[in-house]
Amino acid sequence: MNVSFDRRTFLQGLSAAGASALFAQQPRLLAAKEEPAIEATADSVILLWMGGGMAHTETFDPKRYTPFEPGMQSDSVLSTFPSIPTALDGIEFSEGLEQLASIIDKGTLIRSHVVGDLGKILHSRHQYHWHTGYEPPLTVAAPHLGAWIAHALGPKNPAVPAFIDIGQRYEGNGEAEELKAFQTAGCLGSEYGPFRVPNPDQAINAVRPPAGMSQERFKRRYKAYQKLVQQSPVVQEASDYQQESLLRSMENAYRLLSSDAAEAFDLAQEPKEKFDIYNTGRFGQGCLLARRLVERGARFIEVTTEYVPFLHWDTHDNGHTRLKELKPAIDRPIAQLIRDLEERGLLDRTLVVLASEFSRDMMVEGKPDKKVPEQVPQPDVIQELKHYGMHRHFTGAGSVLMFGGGAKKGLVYGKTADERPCTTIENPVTITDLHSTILHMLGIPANYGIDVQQRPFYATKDGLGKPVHGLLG
Amino acid sequence: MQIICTSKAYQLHSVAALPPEEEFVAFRGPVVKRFSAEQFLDAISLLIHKWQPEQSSDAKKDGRGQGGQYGTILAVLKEHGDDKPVTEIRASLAFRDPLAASLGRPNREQVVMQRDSYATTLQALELTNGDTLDSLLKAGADYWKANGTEDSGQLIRNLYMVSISREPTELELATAFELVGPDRDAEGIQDLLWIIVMLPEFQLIH
Repeated sequence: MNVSFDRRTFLQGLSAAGASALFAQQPRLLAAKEEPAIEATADSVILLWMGGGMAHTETFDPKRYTPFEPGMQSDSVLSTFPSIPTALDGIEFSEGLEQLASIIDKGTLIRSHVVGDLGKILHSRHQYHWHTGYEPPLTVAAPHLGAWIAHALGPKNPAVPAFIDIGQRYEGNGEAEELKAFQTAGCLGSEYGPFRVPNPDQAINAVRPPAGMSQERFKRRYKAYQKLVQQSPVVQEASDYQQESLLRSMENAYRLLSSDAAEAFDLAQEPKEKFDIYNTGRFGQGCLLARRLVERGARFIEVTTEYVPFLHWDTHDNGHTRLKELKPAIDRPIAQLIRDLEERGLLDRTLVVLASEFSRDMMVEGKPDKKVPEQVPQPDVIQELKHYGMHRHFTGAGSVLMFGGGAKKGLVYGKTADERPCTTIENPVTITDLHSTILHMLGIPANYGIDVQQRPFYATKDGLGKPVHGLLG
Repeated sequence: MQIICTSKAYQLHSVAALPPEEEFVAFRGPVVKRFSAEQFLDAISLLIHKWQPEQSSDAKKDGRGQGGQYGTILAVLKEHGDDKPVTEIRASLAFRDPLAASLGRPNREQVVMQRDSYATTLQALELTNGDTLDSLLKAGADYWKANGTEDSGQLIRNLYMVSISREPTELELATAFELVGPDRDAEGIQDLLWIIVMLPEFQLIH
């Protein structure tokens, strides 16, 4: 598919409501630059988010294994799990990721993802940076990557929201407000924001009538609404984009809530044996939901292991023990997701990306050459198992997986040092360029942008992202 | 104030949209606007006789939610000897719930210079099946059933007057009557309330 981004195409593709909105001082698409159209290789994206900081040396880039032993030196430990072979000759993963190891020949492994050095490391700042491509704080509300994609391409199926966010709950989360700051369409406008599904097992509730309302009553209410709109003398007299967009949005919502696509949100309709494979918990169910939604024409989906301070991948202590639980929670469902997409002929046009805001190390906090204040405590000598693990935040390297959608098969890109600080030594891939690569696969240029109150704002930082062509199949 | 209110410009009808800047000759009237999230919720509160729940009265709260602002206002009132309980708490002093968020109320932590004014599908989904609005309207239906007139036709007329400042036409009355029924069915009243607050006439400022 060729996607050409000029103002004319954009206007043609907009609904009447959206087009009217343009003239009402909404953000405008920047004038197209004279560049050849990009051949899109993907139509949909699933982002699998390892919120909290996934250590590369404990997952997809293992180093020398040192088993736990009371009295061991912290700086002697590079990996706390032994390595296992993968489907690629000479490439090893960390123990516990056997399923992913068996399918890595279907995708690309980036071992050289480097992220920003944002000083005193805060997860939400780094997650903001990863998801928007911009370092906070900003004077512009930066859109999430999914919102840019929703803005550029729109929904693939009009009955399925273009940007769906699965698994992140805000209630009771100490960093809820910070998380909301990037889980948004920002300056693009809420039309492109995430359709939130905090609990995959309750996803169906988001697309069916309010609790306690029967389908019959729901339909009767909407029919009466249509009738009263038609009968309203004010509606008949007035005609403006506000009214049109309101009526159209109500129609769209009713269409989704009463369409077959809504069934995709219902995990209870999945055969039990398949559900059980995915069901390692909320994240596994999220992967299953993502697959079902892609089958129905979703455009961009993020499934998160959920970021909660000091939980999940945010391993400030007991790193080794906790990874023993985390790995099975992601290994089987992700591998099954890839297999299912391939079996259904969807993998070629669906890009699946696994990423995290940064990596971890036992000794280095931030980047090797910079001392970060208030680093996570780590004794020089380990006496207890709770100190055995990657507890400090590390930004010098990180692993990313990409499957389908035009990503090369069986490629390992980039390299990290085998000794501490195990930092990137070959082919670094920045967030800006990784985003640019993802957008490129979808046919969206890195300088796709809008005019926000007479200021240009781009999908990649300053419009300067460069796709990593070595990753493209 | 008198000059403003009696001026021709102030009394002009609204227009669908402003002309492009280069074609602008004279002011022909205000552009149609949609209620902000807070205005919409306040208008509903007025209709259903139920205001926002009381927030934290702690004026020193860090302001991350709206509770701190509410507490500060209470503290100022107290300073001026006004200790009467606050009953009509406006939406701008309440926390940003999913409904307010979907209607475009921004995070307090994020600097924004403009809000969306046009309706989106995501908003419509929240308005159609979200718990927040559903429970508000349920409470509203209970209020009107308990406190409204026993005559269904008059009840419908009252709802129209309170919400959009006019009586329903005969056709509208007949359609609304089908929902409410002669016995003032609570679900029917709730559905009518939902329909009214979804009408462009309710949400748009002409």
